[in-house]
Amino acid sequence: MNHNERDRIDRLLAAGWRGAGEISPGEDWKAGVMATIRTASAAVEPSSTNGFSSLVLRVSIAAAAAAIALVAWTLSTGIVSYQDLAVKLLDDPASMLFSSPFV
Amino acid sequence: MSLSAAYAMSLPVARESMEIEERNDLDIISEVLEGNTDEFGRLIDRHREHVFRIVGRRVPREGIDEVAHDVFVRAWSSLASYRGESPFQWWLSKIAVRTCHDYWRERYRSKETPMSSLGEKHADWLENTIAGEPEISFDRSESRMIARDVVMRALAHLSPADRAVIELVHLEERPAREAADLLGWSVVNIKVRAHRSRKKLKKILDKMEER
Repeated sequence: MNHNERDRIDRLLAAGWRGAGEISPGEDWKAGVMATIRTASAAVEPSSTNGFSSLVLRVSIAAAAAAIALVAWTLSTGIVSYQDLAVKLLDDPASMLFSSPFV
Repeated sequence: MSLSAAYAMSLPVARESMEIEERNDLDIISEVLEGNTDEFGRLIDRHREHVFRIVGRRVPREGIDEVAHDVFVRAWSSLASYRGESPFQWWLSKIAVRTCHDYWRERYRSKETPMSSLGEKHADWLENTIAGEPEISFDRSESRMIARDVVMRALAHLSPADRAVIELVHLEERPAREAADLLGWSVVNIKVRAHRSRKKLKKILDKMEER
């Protein structure tokens, strides 16, 4: 098959392919889609989803604040090694966590 | 600022008519997102012909309704992610093209793709077309139907990814950038695959012609 023949076939194939797809769906089809969506919509409980996401947000903020406080405490006490920090935490975790980081 | 207001501000004045159309779509979307699920039916009415055109070209007739159904359900479930940066119809086109791609991926995995050889009518059509006289034995609409049959049979021998690229770049003649956006792939990937899949399709058509 030479180049011109190939081009001619390509054009006809593309035209045949583009000519397809002129199908209009009926109302039954639309009703089916809407039924699926309504069922899925009913299964989703927006309030519980919102409640969970706000809980995650609050926990994230608290965790970030705790991390900042811990960093500030390590800087103020001069502890730079993670091992020192772990030893101190295991030795007396309560007083370490509840003592002021700025003393 | 509401989604519709943000989108309206981002559009140039020259696209005023499109702006009105899109603002309407955005208003409907806002209502659906506020919990008025029934309003989604209006979006279906507006865009179903467009979706059926995309799906109808890519999927066999018996699968069109089901795939188009999936397109709108997917669109509804990810509606909150639509930011109004591009027209809603374009966003929907991406979902439609990708759903069709998934349709073929599923069939390709389970080896369900039709691999039948050409019938006598198709072989005659190819022969006449090569000779430059496709209208000798076929009228225009029949010729078009046979052409569609031939291209669908040829595409059935390609992988889903090659198929998707051939459809967008060669059959619909879309630029690589557009094809990349529709499929969510890189432009380089599209260009490389377009070149390779074109070669594969040529080989398949040559084999078909030999039969």
